[in-house]
Amino acid sequence: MNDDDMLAAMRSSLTSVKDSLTDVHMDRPPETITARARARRLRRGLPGAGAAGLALGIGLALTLSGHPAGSGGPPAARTVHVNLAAWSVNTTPAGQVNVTIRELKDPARLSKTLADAGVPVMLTSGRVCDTGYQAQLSRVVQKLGGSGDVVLVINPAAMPPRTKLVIGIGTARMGSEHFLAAAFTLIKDGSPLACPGGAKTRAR
Amino acid sequence: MRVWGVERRRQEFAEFYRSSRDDCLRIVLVSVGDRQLAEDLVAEAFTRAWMSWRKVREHPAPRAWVVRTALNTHVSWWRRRRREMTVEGRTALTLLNGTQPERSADLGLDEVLAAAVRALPPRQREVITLRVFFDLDTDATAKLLGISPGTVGAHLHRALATLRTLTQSFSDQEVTR
Repeated sequence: MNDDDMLAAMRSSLTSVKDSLTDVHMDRPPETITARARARRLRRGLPGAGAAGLALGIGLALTLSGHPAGSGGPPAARTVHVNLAAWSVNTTPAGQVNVTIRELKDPARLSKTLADAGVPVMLTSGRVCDTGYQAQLSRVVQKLGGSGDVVLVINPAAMPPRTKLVIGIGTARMGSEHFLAAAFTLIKDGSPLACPGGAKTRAR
Repeated sequence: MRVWGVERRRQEFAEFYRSSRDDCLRIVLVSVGDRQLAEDLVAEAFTRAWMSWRKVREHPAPRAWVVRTALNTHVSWWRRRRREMTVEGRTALTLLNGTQPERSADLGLDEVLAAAVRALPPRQREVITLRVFFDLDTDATAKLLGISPGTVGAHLHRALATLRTLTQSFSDQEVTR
């Protein structure tokens, strides 16, 4: 089989695979794409502001409680599309919540926005503790690569009742490069974020 | 009027996005094998397309531009992720529905080839993707990737040699089992 024949066979096979993906759709509306571009332009237009804000935000070691969730499960979700220069939260029709954190700015609003999207959260800095929910955690949150940003897909429906998602934000260093890193855990609603014996999960 | 021009470009981009997004997502999904990753890569590529819309709208193959940008982004993210060592790597034989076959013999030829494409070096995968899905000729592929036509030919030849070997072994397996 020469290259032309092989290329024709590849075209036939791969097109068949692609055409079989009829249930795969890009759900994000065009407005989220243009808003993301606008946020990036704004960020580029403020030289130094991002890095300074990030360093300050993490240096404060803030711990902010999310929106009160009451004693039941996750709060009722609604459609949320908030795209700021520092972070974005977008719900999907499938019930997932896409989160991108570029800078840790206005964490109180981020907590409230996530709560509105059905994800009760506690934002903190740096590492977080292993609270025994590691098995459930992999179904709740997935971390994706993202050009130095923290990019998450959260599934609120997979959260155990009366729990909060803890997101620890910090910086990781590789050589001279610094980039945002995140660690996660779940805690019972109302429980303090304590680390017995100092055991902590590694930030990632 | 400037405002009218901006709004017209926005509508033009939105129309392009709506008509292209599913196709671009499926092509990138075939190439990377991870739904969430593919969606994020395509979103990133469309973001860059909107930021360079004056250039992209004049491009002879704007969808190919988006897919090439998404795959390039994948390369740089993958390198970053490899350094971080944080994200569980998926094997090349992971199926597009997220399941993994117990044995390679459990796959059909189409899936075997798709998985093999995902295992190719990034540049070879880009060349195959552009040649297969967009039917770009060597010169157009070279221009889009910013490399010489000779280099495109070399990448294509190596990629097809790899895939040919795999197809042959698959056929032998089909015959012998």
